[in-house]
Amino acid sequence: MNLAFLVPAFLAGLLVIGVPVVVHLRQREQKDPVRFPSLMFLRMVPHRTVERRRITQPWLLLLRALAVAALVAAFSRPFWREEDQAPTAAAKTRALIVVIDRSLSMGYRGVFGRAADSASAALAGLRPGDLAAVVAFDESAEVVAPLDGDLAGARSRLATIVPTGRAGRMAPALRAAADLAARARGRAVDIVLISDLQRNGLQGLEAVERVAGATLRIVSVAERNPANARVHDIEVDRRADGRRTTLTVGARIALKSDAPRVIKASLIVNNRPVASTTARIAPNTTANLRFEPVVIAEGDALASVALEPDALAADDTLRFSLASASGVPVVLQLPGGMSGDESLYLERALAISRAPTLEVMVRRGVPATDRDLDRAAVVVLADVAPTGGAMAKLNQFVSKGGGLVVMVGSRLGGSSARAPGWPAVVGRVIDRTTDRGGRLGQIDPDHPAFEPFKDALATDFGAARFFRYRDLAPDSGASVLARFDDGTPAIVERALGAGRVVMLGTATNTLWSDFPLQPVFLPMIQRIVGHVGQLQDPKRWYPAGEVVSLPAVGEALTLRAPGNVGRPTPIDSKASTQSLLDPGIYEIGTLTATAPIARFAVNPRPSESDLAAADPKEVLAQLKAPTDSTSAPNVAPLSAAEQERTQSWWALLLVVALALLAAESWYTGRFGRVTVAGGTR
Amino acid sequence: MSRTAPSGLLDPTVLARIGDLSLIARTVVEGFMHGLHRAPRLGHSTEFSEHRPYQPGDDLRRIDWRVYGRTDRYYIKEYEADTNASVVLALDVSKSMDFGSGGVTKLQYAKMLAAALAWFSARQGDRIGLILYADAVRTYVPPSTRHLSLILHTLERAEAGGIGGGVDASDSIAELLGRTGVTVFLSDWYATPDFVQQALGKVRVRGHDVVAFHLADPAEKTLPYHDAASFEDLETGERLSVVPDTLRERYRAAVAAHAEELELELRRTGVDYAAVETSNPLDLALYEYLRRREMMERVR
Repeated sequence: MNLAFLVPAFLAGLLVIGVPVVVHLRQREQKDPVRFPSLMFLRMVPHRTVERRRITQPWLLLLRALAVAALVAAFSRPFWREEDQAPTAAAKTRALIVVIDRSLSMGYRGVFGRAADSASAALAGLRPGDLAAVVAFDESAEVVAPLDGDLAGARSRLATIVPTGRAGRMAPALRAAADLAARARGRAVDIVLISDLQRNGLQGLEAVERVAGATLRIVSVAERNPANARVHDIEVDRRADGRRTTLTVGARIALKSDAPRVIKASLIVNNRPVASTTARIAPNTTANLRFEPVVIAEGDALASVALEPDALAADDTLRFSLASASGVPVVLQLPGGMSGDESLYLERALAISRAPTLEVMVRRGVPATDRDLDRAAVVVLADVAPTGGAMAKLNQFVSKGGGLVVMVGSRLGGSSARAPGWPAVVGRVIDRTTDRGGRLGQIDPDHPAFEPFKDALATDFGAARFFRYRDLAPDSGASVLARFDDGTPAIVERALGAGRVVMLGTATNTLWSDFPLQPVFLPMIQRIVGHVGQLQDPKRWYPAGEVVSLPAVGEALTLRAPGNVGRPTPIDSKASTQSLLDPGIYEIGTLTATAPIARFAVNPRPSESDLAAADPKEVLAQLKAPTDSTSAPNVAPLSAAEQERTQSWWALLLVVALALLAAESWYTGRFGRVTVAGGTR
Repeated sequence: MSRTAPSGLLDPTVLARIGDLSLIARTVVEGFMHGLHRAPRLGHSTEFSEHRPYQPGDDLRRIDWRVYGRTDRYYIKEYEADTNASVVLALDVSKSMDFGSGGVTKLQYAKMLAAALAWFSARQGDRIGLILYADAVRTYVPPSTRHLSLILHTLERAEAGGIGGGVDASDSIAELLGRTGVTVFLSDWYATPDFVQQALGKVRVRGHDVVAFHLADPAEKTLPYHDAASFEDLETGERLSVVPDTLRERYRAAVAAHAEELELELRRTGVDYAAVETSNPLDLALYEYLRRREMMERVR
């Protein structure tokens, strides 16, 4: 390594150091004479003219000279030049393959401009007879300009490249470059990879082989200290209120920055701003923002949470869809003689469910009708057993994918103790009042119904006391999800056709247990209903690159992708899925319907917002060595400008110069001279 | 009789802004006298002058009862100060006095001090006179008890000019001072001590008590300049290239030695020497003068 300067002409500025030296020499007299009462005593004192050449205040002079030197050095842009590692190919004609990153992160303010400049500079170095190709890449690589001698065409096509909203992966791009290099036919091949070298984009590089015989130059255009805020996720609570719904939205904001920032976020519903909020977020943390509840019309809607644009504006907005607030229909069948107090806890547990919202249809003393079963996703039997044809319809309902929850209490037993399709035979009542009640002793922590309680099963369920419960005898096809502390099955499940049946061995009233009074009761009931009904909270947004299933409507589908403002394009009739490649709104429709039948909100991949950059050497280290060892790959050294930019000593020198100037000010203020007027005239 | 030094609150730069020497003199003297807590006629006895008929309003204590017993009429005893001294203020107005590094030049300071001394002496009942001189006597106001306003007016009009500093004019000054009294010199004494001693000795031998105020600006004593410069003599216009930093200490030593030698020489001649810096309050100088006068009184 040796010291070099990017702009050595600035070194001429070192002559300026002579200025403070001259100032500190005492050879110059003041222009105006000092009028003094008498020279009598000055004449009495002998003095020599040689003293007048002495340097005054040498420390101050040193500070000033160093400050000037540091400033000059900073402007000269010094760097340590790395020795050239590649043999020159000056004698040969060249084949230059420019591989430029156009992923979302390249949209950071100034980054893509630098990348384009670097690419243009690389192309400008070509001579007539050389070949050039341009490859642009995000998640996939695209040969924008093929490898040929049309240098002007390559430059013009380079100018058309803009950042996309997709993630960036270098591996496909380098493979595409290798394919192009194979067509270079004896020319010296230079591959210039221009990217912000996002760490997330390095995946798969270890499987990519370096191009044998070609030089690979990696130009990092990454921002040195990027700061970026993005909407990480949203939380939606939408509740029906007649024809309108109350919408409450919370947003999780992630800030990657060394400094705190005040962030203003807006909630936009159907392209109309409806609420905004502001929060101060500490460096490198996430914060939850909550918008004031707003009232919106019932029905599907599109919404977004938008931050004030920052240096990377592409990830400042998170779009999401709002499904209708109407709940999932659930039939709650109660025995005729059951009092309101006895069913209170179960009814409330189902009514207040929000993930998903349930529409509870209570049938007291009457069986669920066919219409009920057609609408319902889940049927809950609270200490009641349908008989005859009703039971058959219920089993048919379950077999088609419906869910059934059976809770056994004092009323079930005897003839109703066994029903076809139920997971267990209901036995006698076990009375535990004498030993202060039983507990749930064994719970399957991996079952979806208990998954949220996995970390604190003993704490959450251990407090509940069960005074009475039924002795359940599980069916051969059933599985026991939980047992009481005496080993008696407490919760049993079995599959029936496409549906599921779960049976609880105790009643959900306070006579049989204090379980309904425990905090864990509500979420557990909701989880069990969601599990048997196979209910899922609708997905509100998808990351770019996700694949979704297309709705089966029996006719040809059309697609309006983000940025497609014209007519929707038909979808291949054989296709059952659709890739959501770009951030925005995808609308699926039919040729006959005017309104879309499905809409998907797509946002940039969260990983693309992570701007942590790798070092070019790290990228090179990940690449696989070429199998042809006789033509070892060459790694081109960085150009002088790139080396200087990588090292950036100028910034340090500028700081040093400022510090020296500050010290000079302090020194002057503290020890500087005091000028006295020459007298009153 | 005990006196304490005055408060020293009469800043010359503040007084210089007043402009009216009469007012300045009165302010200085009245403030000074207030600080002394004593009757204004200091060190002077009184002596019977005449009788006059009593008039309503006269102090009953001044009625001469013996005359009343003899004449059956009321007469008042009147007295007259017995020590009406002649005080002459000799003010150097040479060009070197026109220097000041602060808010006031030496000449301004000297004029204010002279005015205050004149006012003070007038209150004492002294005859006061004024001599303005440089290389020769410029103005002479003979001593009189009625010349206060004339002296103040003359002082106000005085301007710096000429060279010399009193040594050359000493013969003329000595001739002007006929009657014995007190002569107060105010000068920056830019001359060798033996010359000054010789000049003031001429006045001294005529029986005058001499007080010599040595006025100096702080910059003259400390030479607080840094940049190399050409120093121009205010009186002669001569120039000398000087690097103050290199000779400051030696300059200060020379100035201090000159002042010491001057004081020694003048004391030897019987001249009271008082060094005054123009940054000091005026009443300090006044106090110094008063102290000298007292010493003279005691000696007599």
